[in-house]
Amino acid sequence: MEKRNFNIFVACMIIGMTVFWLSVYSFTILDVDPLQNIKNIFEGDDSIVVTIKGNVVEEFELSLSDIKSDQYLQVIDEEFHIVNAIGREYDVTYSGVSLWSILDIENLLNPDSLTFLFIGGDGYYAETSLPLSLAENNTDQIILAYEQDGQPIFFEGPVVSVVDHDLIPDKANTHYLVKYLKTILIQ
Amino acid sequence: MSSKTNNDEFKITGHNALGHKKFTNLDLIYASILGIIGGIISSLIPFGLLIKVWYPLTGGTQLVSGHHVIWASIVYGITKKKRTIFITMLSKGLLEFLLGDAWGLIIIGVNLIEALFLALGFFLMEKIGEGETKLGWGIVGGMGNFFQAPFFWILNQRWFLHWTLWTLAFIFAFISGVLIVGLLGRTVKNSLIKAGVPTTF
Repeated sequence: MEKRNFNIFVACMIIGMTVFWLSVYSFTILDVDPLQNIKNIFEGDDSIVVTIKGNVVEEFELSLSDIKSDQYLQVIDEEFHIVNAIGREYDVTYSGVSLWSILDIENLLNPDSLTFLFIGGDGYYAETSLPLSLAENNTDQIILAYEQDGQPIFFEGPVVSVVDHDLIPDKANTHYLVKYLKTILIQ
Repeated sequence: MSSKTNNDEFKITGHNALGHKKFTNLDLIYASILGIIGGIISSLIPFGLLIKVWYPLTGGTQLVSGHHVIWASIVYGITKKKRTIFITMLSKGLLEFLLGDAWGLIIIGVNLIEALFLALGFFLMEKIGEGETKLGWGIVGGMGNFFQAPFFWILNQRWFLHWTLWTLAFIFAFISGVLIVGLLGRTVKNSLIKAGVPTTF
């Protein structure tokens, strides 16, 4: 093998091994299921999509059909104001279930539960935890959305967290719009 | 024009405008066509879905991000003018802006800076005699595509994400540049020339 080709081969191996081990480390440390998106394609509405855990009375799992059920407060075709990190503003119509209605109806919170954090199935998580009082006082402005513009959120879902910008006016609320929502961590 | 039909040999297609300061009509036509194709595809086709299914980590979609820049490497291959890279990426950026890109006017700047890094890469590779090799095109492609990943992640202020996601996203952007912008771009360029598309050098 020519020295030049050998050097290219070695460089490729180093990059390949770095990617492999960094990926393994990321999947492990961020608790990401590598097959999650494939499972989402083949599994129906009854598979578990979101888990509420942390400082809760009992870990609670929700399927898509649970999230869509009328036992919780449904927010239908509501317009949410979105502001991204460079300040660009736009409105998007979402349908989903009120986060607070789930926490309240299922009696999940401990007396000392203070905040919640959205975590995606792809290792992404919201910028910071938000106070639970925000969800309690604005029940229809913090939702777990399953439809956007009247269509199921297929590619980035099935569930996305949405927080209206009015509730966090000094932040980019796109940082709280967590796609592939998997976990709500109560702290 | 050559009358050869053997696909293994390059046809003589050049218009011999290499070194001319002015653009030829063909330069502008190629830059416009490729820029418009790139703008439409970048805006309307979610290539990231190809990755997301089997590699769910956020940032993994950078593995296909090279499709945003491949048009500029193709146009350079058939015109050999670095200025056509800028015309192509400007056309592409304008179209992305007009099609409602979430980054607004910034997307035009991003395209122009990608063009700058690509042109710089070609300049450097030609200086060291790798201007036409796969290695040279690969490194150029990696340079051209790498920039946008850290730029977007910094612009998006994703400081709070785990460091491994940042590192992987940047490595993926470079790999995508090497494979798509560099090697695939070079292959497409060669195929176009073999097919008889007139070059302007």
